[in-house]
Amino acid sequence: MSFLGIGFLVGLAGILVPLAIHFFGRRRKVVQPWGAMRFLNEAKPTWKRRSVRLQDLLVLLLRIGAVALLAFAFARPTIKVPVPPENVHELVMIVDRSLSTELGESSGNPVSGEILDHVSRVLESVPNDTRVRVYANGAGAGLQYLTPVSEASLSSPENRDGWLSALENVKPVAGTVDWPEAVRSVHRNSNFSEPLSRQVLIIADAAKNGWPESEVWNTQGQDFSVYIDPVGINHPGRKRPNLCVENLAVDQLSLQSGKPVVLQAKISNRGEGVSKSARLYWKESEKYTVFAEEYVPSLKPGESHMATVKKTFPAAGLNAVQVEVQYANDALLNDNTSALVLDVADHVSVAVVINELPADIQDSDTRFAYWAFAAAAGDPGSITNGENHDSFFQLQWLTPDQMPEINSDKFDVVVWSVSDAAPVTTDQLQSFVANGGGLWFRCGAGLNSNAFNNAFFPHEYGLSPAGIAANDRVMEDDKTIGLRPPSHTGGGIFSEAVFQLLDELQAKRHFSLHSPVPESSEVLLEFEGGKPFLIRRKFGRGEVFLTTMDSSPGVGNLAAIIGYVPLVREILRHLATSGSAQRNFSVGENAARESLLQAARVKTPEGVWIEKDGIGEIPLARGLYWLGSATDGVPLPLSLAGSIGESDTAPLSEAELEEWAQLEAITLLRPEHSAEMKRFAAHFGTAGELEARKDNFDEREIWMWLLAGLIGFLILEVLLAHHLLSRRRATAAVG
Amino acid sequence: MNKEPRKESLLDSEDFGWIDGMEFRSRRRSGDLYAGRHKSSQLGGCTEFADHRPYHPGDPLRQMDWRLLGKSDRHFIKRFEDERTVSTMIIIDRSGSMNFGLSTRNKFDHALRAAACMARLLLSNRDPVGIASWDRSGDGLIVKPRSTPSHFESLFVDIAELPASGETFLKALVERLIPLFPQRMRVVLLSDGFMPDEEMAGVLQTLSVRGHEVILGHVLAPEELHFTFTEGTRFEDLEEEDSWRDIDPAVYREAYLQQFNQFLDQLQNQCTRLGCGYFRLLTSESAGAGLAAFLRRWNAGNFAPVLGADIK
Repeated sequence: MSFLGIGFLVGLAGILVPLAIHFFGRRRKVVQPWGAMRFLNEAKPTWKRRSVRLQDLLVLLLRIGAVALLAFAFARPTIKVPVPPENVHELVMIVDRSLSTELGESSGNPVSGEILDHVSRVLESVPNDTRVRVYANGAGAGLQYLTPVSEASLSSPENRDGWLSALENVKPVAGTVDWPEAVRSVHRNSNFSEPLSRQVLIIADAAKNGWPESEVWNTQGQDFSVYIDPVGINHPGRKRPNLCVENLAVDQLSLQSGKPVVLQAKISNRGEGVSKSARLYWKESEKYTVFAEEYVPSLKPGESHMATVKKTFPAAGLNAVQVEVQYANDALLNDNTSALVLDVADHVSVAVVINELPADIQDSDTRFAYWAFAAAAGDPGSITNGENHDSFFQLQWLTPDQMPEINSDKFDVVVWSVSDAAPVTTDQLQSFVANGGGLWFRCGAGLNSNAFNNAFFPHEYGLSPAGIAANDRVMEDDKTIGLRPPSHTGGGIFSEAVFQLLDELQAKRHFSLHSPVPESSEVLLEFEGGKPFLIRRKFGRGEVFLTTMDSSPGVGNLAAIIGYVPLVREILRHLATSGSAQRNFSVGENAARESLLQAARVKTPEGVWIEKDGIGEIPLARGLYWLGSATDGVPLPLSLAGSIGESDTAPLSEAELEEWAQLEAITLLRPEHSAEMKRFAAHFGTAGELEARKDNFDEREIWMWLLAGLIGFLILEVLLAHHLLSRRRATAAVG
Repeated sequence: MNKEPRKESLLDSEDFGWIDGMEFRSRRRSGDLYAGRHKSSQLGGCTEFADHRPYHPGDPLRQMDWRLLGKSDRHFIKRFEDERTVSTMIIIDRSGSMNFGLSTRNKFDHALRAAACMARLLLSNRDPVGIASWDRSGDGLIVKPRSTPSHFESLFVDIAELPASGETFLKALVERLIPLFPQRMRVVLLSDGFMPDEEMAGVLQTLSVRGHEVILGHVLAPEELHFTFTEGTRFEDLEEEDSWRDIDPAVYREAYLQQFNQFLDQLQNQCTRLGCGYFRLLTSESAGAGLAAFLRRWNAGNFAPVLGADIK
């Protein structure tokens, strides 16, 4: 017998307690003066005092035994029990050769080396005449049978070397291994028609993605015992670096002045391993040209590197940049390809959907509207030829037919100026706005927007003047109407400068809405008489603006007024920024873009980093960062960080391994599971060797038996003590 | 010990209430000289006719039955019963064992209360009462019987002050009393009887053969009667110093009760055989109640042992 916690045997000293109670803790005798001593002297004891003493002694022994059993139970004694020999089994080994096993290849200590060591160890541990079949498994469930050197397929030294060398030559395959399917394919293999029970041993690295869900394993055939030997869980290669952009700053004044802009990025290593030296690429998003690159040294965990680059943006008055941060680390395949890409975009894409393209404009009045938009976007040239000049707002004039699939990757703002939209297009617009896009719906003279109405302003009769006959329009030709915000407290969403211009805006005609403005919407501007002019509604993560007046001079006259241009500019800016702010890593919001990341760290406005797990896939942290007047020239920090996430090489935690060990279908072979290892090894061997293994003992813990004995002792003690007490009381109660 | 409190405690109205209006009849004829309520061994001038006897010269002529002489011409003297007082000597055991009292008052106090009740009853019947108590050291007292009401005070004024200790010295006391009181009288022994059997038998026999009417008031505590101890106890002898026994009462209880009951039976039989009265005074009961239970049967002519107050 041996003890796993021999230190607890100190508790044996506790038997002194019942001894002390027995010898010293007896009740003090009551002294009783007594007159009838004569009768006591003449009386002879009815029942022998010896029996009482014996029972007291028995109680004492029970108490000592209980204390001793408790101490022994804590000391976790083990006894050797013979391991019963079982039938001769056949060993089927499936060896993991997925790409993740090449982790640590560059350091000369790859996980695959450990796997081969395990294979060698297992092959050496089974008897020479055990039947063994070895398979290599890459991605999926495809098995590669490794033909033994000798036909007998026995675990001979000759075959052992052959299998090991063959395993070394198997080329790793990228992808996730489907182990249950691999086991099933072994089961289905026609080569195994002999009536031998088999042990399937999977020797795999403990990469997380290689371990499928537990319920899959429960579909195994019952004649298989599946052992899994997880390897390399503590391999140093699993301590991954995590380079991230902790802070990105842009000098706003330089941005607006047209001078070279200083872009600063703070690169930090927030992982557990030392990052390799990497290159930092500054890239413009749509031109895919790298305008700067920088060397980022190897960073220890917690270290940072400040990267700075100057970039001249062509547009004057530029006040925003759009930055995409992409971190690629495929160091598993090539150590020199680590890269950090800061993708800087210098414009906001605005799609203006209209019936006539600028080149085809016939109506000179309509031209005012185009001019107004072009002027607002700072790109007058786009009116005439549609070319993309260097402007922050890059307008794309589109007819409904030309309109490509609208999504927030292509456009930031859509200005809808056509009469109606097909239901399919309406669905696209809904999705676009819900994902953070900005939509400006301008009511034209012939606007008939039932679909739009139903999509964004579902109301009793719809909010927009859609479907209203010309007679229903309110045409107030000879009366100008000033624009007022409903409750002006300093400009609302508009800057003060633009707000001052609103007084000069006078509309001669406008449309009355079909229904009152619903509570979900907000009137930003209204006419002097109280009729709404600009209505805003949040929709998903984006916003929809509705203006109740056409810009066409034929119906209204707003476009011809010079003050209309800054209003358009403000509206576009607001629509671009409000939506993009939602698309950024703002607190409480997921950045819903296609992504490789499973988790990200986000810095709150208070400067606190918070973990954002399970936010879906975030491959690229992309967003538009508006450098408006609110920053007053102070470099605006762009705070975002993303981890590389759960890659194929992420380690399986010990807790997850323990969960696997609970599955009935499989047995984990871990170095600390000595009993399982012995049981596994005991499956193999010839009849003679199995006979010889009768002396093979397994150490088994017996603390639970001791506890059961302890409980029994305590019950006996209580019963005996109760018996003694009741006997004394019964004799006393006779009188 | 202050003697006033002990005396005051003897005068318990509850105890006296039990015997109020009762009398203590004598089983034997009185030899006293004073007129009282008890029949005398002498025939006297009472109104109750006793018998006739032949006239002898010298007999007073006024006792002549003239009517019988007229009818039968024979000379007979009419004799009538005579009633005298009965002197009672109450002997109280003052040995150490009488000092026992665990759940109740101690036996000596209880005996004193019983004696006080009895004395009061007897004095109210104008019977002389005396009291005696002695111990081996010679420390004790004997108060001669008197029948004056004020005698009650003098009966207990001294005895109440004496402690109960030492061995029982009843035999010596009785031997000392006999020459002092040669006339027949009533002797009431208030004792637990914890002495050698032969000594007790000797005392009873000595008194009985001298014509005294002997009544044993057996004073016992309930613990002695039932032995209700449960835990291991050191019993220290009250009569002998440095004498003790460590005993598990549960083990000895049965044997003790056997011995004790045997002792009780023997004592009662002895009393019956010698014509002595026997009544048990339990300290758990009122002294007056115990005495009253005895007197009810005794006065009714039932001389069987009375084993308690029978209080319902």
